[in-house]
Amino acid sequence: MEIQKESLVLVVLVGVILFSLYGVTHQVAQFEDLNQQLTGYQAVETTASRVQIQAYLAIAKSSNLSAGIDFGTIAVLPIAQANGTGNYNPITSNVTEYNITVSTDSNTAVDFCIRANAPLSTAGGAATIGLGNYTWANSTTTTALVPAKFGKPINTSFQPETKGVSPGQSDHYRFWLNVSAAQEPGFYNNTIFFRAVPTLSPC
Amino acid sequence: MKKRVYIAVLILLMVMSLSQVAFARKGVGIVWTTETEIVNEGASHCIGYGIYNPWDEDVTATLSVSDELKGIITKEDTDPKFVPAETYHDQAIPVEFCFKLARVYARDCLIGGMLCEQTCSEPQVEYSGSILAVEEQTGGATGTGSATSLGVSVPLKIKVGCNAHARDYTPVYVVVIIIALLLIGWILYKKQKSNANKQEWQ
Repeated sequence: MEIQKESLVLVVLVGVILFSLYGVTHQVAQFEDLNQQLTGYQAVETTASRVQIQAYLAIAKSSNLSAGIDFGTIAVLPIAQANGTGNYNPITSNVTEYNITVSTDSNTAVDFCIRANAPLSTAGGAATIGLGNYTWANSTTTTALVPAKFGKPINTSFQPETKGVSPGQSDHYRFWLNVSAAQEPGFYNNTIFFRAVPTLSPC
Repeated sequence: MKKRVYIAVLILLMVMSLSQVAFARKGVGIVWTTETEIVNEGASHCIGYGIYNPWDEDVTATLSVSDELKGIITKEDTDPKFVPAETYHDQAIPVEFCFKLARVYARDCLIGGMLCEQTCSEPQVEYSGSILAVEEQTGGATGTGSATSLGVSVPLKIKVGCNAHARDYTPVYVVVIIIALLLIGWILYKKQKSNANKQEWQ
């Protein structure tokens, strides 16, 4: 009687194990199905179709822009709309020497954005010239009159500017600075960031 | 006559070298193949970019992710890369970024993190940012003025995929199998022991 009872328990336990194994395999199959759905797997003959679309863009500053936007030494105050030293080049019909070019080794048009890191300030930030006094203008063409005076103030967040500049084209810039009579003497510096993004993308 | 030719050649050489300086350009470029990726929650994913410089001056540039993507990035090679002049897009220097996505969608679990089901009824979570290629800043105004920095930015959106699934009872089945095996072992052990005792008595 005892042996029969033990055998019955063993049979039940083996049954439980088999049921549980079925349960595990069923769950695993469910998750595999899910993964196959996610990867687009179908239980039919398939042929993979693949394409990779590559985009690339490169830009470069003119040598004058690489050297920095310099307003030189201002000796007479106040001064309104002091020119960046590269704003007008008398040798080339007064066109600007500040520009950024989109390389012909690019396959997408470009939008440009511009910002300053901070107001112009002396070392240590003891004295500053507010960014409301620092203006800029830009255009994809340049003459003695274009980009036109005196533009708009720069600020510390990226401002979208010229849109859809094609490979091979340039974006030309001019910069101006107002300095009040009360401004302390000193060297005032900051950094201007130019950023190119694929056209219609955010800065 | 000979002196005139010499001077003319000298002037020509000077003009040529000056024009080189005037037209020398320094810049940076980026190659990309994706702007949107879908990555399952809890998974890792890497995306490759290229940095190039088709211009006529060498440049040192870095590739980085914008702040919006900093929270999910696990591999970012921000070391400055030297990119020689005339490195065109098909010779771009590869840079890889890897992202690890945490579990972001709610799961209904019965015990701790086990016996869970997921309905994916929440709106899709996505991280939007950009990948920036920035040339190392050089130069600066000698008097009052600004240094300039040039960069190229491409957008990147990572959408978090969600796997809807019914409750996963696998741990229960595993525990039941273990208990059943232990019980079987215990019964067989007891049986063997009682047989041995019987043999001893006989």
